Amino acid sequence: MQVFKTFLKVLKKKLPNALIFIGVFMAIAIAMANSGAETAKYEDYEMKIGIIDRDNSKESKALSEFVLDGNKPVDIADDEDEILDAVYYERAGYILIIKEGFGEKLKNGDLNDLFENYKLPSSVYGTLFDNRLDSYLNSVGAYMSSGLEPTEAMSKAQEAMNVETKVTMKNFEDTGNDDYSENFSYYYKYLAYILISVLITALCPVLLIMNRKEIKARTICSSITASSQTFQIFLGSGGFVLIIWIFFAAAGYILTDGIMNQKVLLAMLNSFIFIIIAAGIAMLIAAFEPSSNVLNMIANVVGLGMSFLCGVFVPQDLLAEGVLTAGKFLPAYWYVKANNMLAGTCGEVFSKSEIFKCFGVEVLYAVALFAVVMLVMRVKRKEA
Amino acid sequence: MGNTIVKIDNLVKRYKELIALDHFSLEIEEGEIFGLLGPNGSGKTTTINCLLSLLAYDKGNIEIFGEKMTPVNYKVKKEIGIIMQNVAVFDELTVYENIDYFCGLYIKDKETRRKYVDEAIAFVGLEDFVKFYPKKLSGGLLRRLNIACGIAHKPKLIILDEPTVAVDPQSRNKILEGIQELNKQGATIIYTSHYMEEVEQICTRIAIMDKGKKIAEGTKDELKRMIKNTETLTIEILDLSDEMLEKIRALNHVYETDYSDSRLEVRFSGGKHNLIHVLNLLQENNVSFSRAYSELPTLNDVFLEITGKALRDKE
Ligand SMILES: Nc1ncnc2c1ncn2[C@@H]1O[C@H](COP(=O)(O)OP(=O)(O)OP(=O)(O)O)[C@@H](O)[C@H]1O
Ligand SMILES: [Mg+2]
Repeated sequence: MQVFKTFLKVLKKKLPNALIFIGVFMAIAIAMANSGAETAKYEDYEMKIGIIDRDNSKESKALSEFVLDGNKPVDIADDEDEILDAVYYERAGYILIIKEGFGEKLKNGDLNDLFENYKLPSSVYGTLFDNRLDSYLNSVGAYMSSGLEPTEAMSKAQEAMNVETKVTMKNFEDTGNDDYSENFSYYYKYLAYILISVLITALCPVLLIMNRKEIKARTICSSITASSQTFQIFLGSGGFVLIIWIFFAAAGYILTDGIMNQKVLLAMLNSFIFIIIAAGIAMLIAAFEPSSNVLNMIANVVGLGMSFLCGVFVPQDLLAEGVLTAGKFLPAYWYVKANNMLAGTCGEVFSKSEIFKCFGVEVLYAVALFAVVMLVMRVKRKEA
Repeated sequence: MGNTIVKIDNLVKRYKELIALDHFSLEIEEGEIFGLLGPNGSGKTTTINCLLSLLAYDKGNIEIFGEKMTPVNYKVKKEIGIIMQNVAVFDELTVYENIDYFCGLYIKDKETRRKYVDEAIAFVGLEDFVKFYPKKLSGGLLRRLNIACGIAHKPKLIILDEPTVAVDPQSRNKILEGIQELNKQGATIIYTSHYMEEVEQICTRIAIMDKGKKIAEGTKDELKRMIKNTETLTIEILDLSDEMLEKIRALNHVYETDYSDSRLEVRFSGGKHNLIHVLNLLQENNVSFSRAYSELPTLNDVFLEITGKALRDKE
């Protein structure tokens, strides 16, 4: 086991490369676990809303009804100074002015420029409410185009919004602390970046050293068989990958107060498949025998690039269409998607069969990667 | 003696268009220090790599210890020690760990291995550097480490591919003495170099290579006897007329003269007291000279005569 032992010795020298990633990640994870991340959710919040109805039609009344549903009405006169005062002194969190001709425009199917609003630019809830109003209006448009009268469409849309809200709320409850916490989902999402970076910066250099032309040739000259040599290097790599995975799985488990259930197990399985992919990527890079400068560059490009394209840093539902399409061709996309399903974020819902589909795609990537690695190594051997 | 250890038969190795080995044959007997001498690019390393089955060859046959050498002949590989031209050590391991790694590829038993590694360290004189990393070693010490890694398992056949390139004279002597010592202890040695002085100093038999071909083979005396040159005189003369040069050329046994940069070179084939004859002639004609010396033929002369070019560019 001379090759294996030396593999570990060299690994010990190269591990500090990866410790920076592990250290920073663990520091953030620990900090997050202790702060108990709060995210703004519109549904939880009752806002003080003032409505100025300049149209006074059936339709504007329906809109007012929707807006005030679950919120607190505030009386505001139709006067610019008073409006600004009310917003500035936070007498109202949101002021909506329904413009004259709202009903008429709606009837004609024109959804542009229907109202104005005032809110503090820094108001998170105001922004969330804007989004809600937008999707409400979209639904109204959708119902109308299916042939409903504006008022009918509006009540349908309101109904739909309420149902959706409940679904979302249910999901948030689902992901409450005793099932699949938000912390946990963040932890596993960023883990994609960390796993790739750790393996490229620590495993790649070791593979490069063990397979350095002179060392390899010199070792082949000895009485150990070529297959034993390959096996021992494989054993070293596999052992390292396994230990890294166990470390992160255990750390994640501990940091989220030791919650264990089906979703947590699925998240762990997801990360296990992904670390195999990351190992495949590391081996593929090593097979091309880059210099150490190039290797650092590759680590950044692959780690950061894949993470951005696949929604590790930016939620998948906020990514541009083109980026998402590109992301689908990368394994991390499917890892993050599965994780989103587990967390019920980014518009994904938990479905076991869908999650296993993601796992399936990931496994295919892993198999493909290892096939390419073998191919590249064979071609390289022929060249030598 | 008389036991053939290595037998290379009609080896042909092509790199695309280039013929690196051209029907190259060689036989090496047990107990020899066999020198493979040739200029850069003549095919020495290619020969070694084929010998070790690191390279596939196009034609020919190789036998070591009477067995056909193949990439999977581990029994034969076990008995070979190899010191590559390019130093093959781990920068991440210490001197001790490096030797232990390579020794451990052959010797499984821990006790024996520890003993062998210590002996190898003592043999190359690296006792004070066991905890050093290769990056911290001088060129000469690094070469010695490379050698220790190759010989620690006490192989019967030791192959050294230019082990003294870029080595200071002190380390070089230590290495050459070491090789002779290993030979005394019973190992057969193959030694490649483009330094003829080294090869002359230690090798019992020598093959000279050029462009993938063996152009001569024998002991150094045999090789020197092959050529007509028996002595070369070099005399420093500031001013020498053509007429005078003609007179020297007319002397007995002289077959070639060469005057340039105030240096006169006269080559003889046979004859005695050649230096005195030339100096007398110069004195009779009132030609003044400074340094004068006589040299017996070197392997360079052998190479020069056979190929028409020097073994390596004058330094
Ligand atoms: N991998 C290769 N691909 C193509 N040509 C090669 C390769 N290796 C060696 N050669 C060529 O084969 C010839 C013999 O090379 P080789 O390395 O055997 O010479 P050498 O005698 O060991 O020289 P040196 O003293 O420089 O080490 C050279 O012309 C070299 O350019
Ligand atoms: Mg060479």
